[in-house]
Amino acid sequence: MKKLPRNTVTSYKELAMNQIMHGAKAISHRAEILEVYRAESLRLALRITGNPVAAEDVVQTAYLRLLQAPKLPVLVPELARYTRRTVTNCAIDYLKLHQSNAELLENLPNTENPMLDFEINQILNELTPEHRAILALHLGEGYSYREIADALNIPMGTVASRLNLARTEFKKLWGDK
Amino acid sequence: MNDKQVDQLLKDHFDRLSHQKKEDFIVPRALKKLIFLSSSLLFPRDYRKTDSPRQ
Repeated sequence: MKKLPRNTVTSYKELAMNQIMHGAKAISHRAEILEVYRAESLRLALRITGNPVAAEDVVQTAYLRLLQAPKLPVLVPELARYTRRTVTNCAIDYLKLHQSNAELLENLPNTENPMLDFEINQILNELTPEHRAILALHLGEGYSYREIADALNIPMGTVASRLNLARTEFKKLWGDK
Repeated sequence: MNDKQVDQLLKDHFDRLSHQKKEDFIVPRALKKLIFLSSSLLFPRDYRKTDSPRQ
């Protein structure tokens, strides 16, 4: 087998090193950009999960996904939407895995009305993760049906029907208490 | 309870959540760091190696 000339091998090494350095720079640059949305992402994750520790985990997972994504939107509104969608999906996935876990109802945030918030959180925990997310997005974050449809990747009609179902379910559980 | 009342109850709940203290977010992160630091102090690098000893 014909050996590659020494200088070519060196250039391959340089090329690989350059690629690694460029990749590291790109990741750190991406992390800096995403840092802008961290507070908003934490608030959204907290409203969906109802637990600050869970919210922290959700945002870490979402940001890892965003850092590893092959391509991110360049325009600011699109990037914000993409980040919101990723955080929402990660929060729903988290709830699907941990909803039955009693720890989700522990370490609740210190609010002005802890007893009431605990009761509401208990009821929200009985809803499906998708219904909980829709309530948090619409009533907590004040997003329109269109924005929610985009965040959850579902049609607008489904948003309206799910929101109605979630509200009815919450009302029923609240009345049963 | 009608729909408007449910919406208001939940809106207030989500608002209260967002006004929570910043420390609630910072403490878990600080705890994780503390656990990591204490584990590295208790188990120095040489003892954490998983390689089996040479025969």
